[in-house]
Amino acid sequence: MIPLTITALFGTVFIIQTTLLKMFGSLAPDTMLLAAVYCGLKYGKINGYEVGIIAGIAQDILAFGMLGINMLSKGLTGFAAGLLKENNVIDPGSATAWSFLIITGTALNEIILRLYLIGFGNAHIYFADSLAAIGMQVTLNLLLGIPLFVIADELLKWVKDAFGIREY
Amino acid sequence: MKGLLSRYQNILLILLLLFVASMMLADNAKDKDKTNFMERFALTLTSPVNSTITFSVRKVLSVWNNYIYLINTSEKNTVLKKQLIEERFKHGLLLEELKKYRRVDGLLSYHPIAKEKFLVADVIGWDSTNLSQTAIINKGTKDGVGEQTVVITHEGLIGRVVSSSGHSSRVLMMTDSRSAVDAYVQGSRARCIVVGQNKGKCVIDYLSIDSKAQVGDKLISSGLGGIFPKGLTLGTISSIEPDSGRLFFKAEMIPSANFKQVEEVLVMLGTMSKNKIDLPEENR
Repeated sequence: MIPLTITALFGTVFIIQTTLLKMFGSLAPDTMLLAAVYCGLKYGKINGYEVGIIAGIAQDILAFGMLGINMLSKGLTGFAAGLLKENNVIDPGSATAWSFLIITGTALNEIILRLYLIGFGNAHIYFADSLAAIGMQVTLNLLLGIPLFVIADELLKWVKDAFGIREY
Repeated sequence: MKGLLSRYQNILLILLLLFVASMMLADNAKDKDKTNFMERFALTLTSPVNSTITFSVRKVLSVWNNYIYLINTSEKNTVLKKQLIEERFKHGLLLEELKKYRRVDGLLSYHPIAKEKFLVADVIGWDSTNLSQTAIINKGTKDGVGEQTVVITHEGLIGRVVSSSGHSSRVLMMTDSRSAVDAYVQGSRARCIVVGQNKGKCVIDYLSIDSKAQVGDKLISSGLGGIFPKGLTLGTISSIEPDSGRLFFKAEMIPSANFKQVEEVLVMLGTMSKNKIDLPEENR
């Protein structure tokens, strides 16, 4: 029931991201990155790793010619989030930890994507532009991420109570 | 063995991910312009969902804009009626001019774009990453849309189709960093290449410092790349400066088409796969 709830929540937000959010501008929060961070934080490195890979592949096949790149960045992000949680470096319930992981995860993700574009695309990557774009993406991810994590926590609490699940 | 695996589990997991991702990326690089089975399958699978959501939201917005949010409509209507009278008058004059021009030069038979067949398509979705600029439209192979079909709006070029399924296609926009369009500066006829940057502006490459191009000049497709027909409006030069010690200008272009709010597009059916424009013999 718990994996189903998480899939439903982040899946819905992902569909909204690919259909509605970009109607209002070219940038949108990266919901799949948020899913990887959340699962890593809550359920450890292996779950974060798996969710990151699946979420990344979903993004890759919905983009053109980028197969593997989001899988790599999201897989690493989920894994790192889980590793920090398992080693008690961060408190998985604190907003500071969420913010830290969203910021570092987004930066890692953007750097990997930009390295890919330098290697395989025609892009002229300028440092100042990239920094501004990463800053913008971090802001968007934080704006959606923190409320989404709170909603996910509340939703999971409700599901656990409703279905009598003790621990997951 | 088991102990060794669990001891180096973290490193092994990261190496495995790096290896699989590298294999996939190497495969992508081999066939940059081809879509694989998974991408086509995903397009087929997701397009009905995208289509339904986009359609519903547009309907709601349309009801709001056309039936509820009508402040200033009456004043605007009066202004527009006056404008319409003026425009009708101008239109009549221009029609006469056009007829005269056609009689003298046979303009229509020389204009490549006028001979293309168009299909109107709705944009039903976008990709989920911000470093890739693609859109999904609701026309596919069953409507005659295939790979390399050119997509435009009345404002200018949007891009080309890179993958198609039965009822939907993915369009690689001109602003994507993997897109490059061979172009002319409309006034000076200087050649250059317009390359996407995954943002609002495109970079203009190989614009010779000998050309008399300047800010505000329009760029049109040259037709030389083999995909885009000649004469499509691309955009306007927004900045241009000599690149120290190089033979080319460092320049940027703002696309004519509004990529952020594009809802409907025109698909140029005659451009699929091979750019087969029916040009008169002397223009080929």
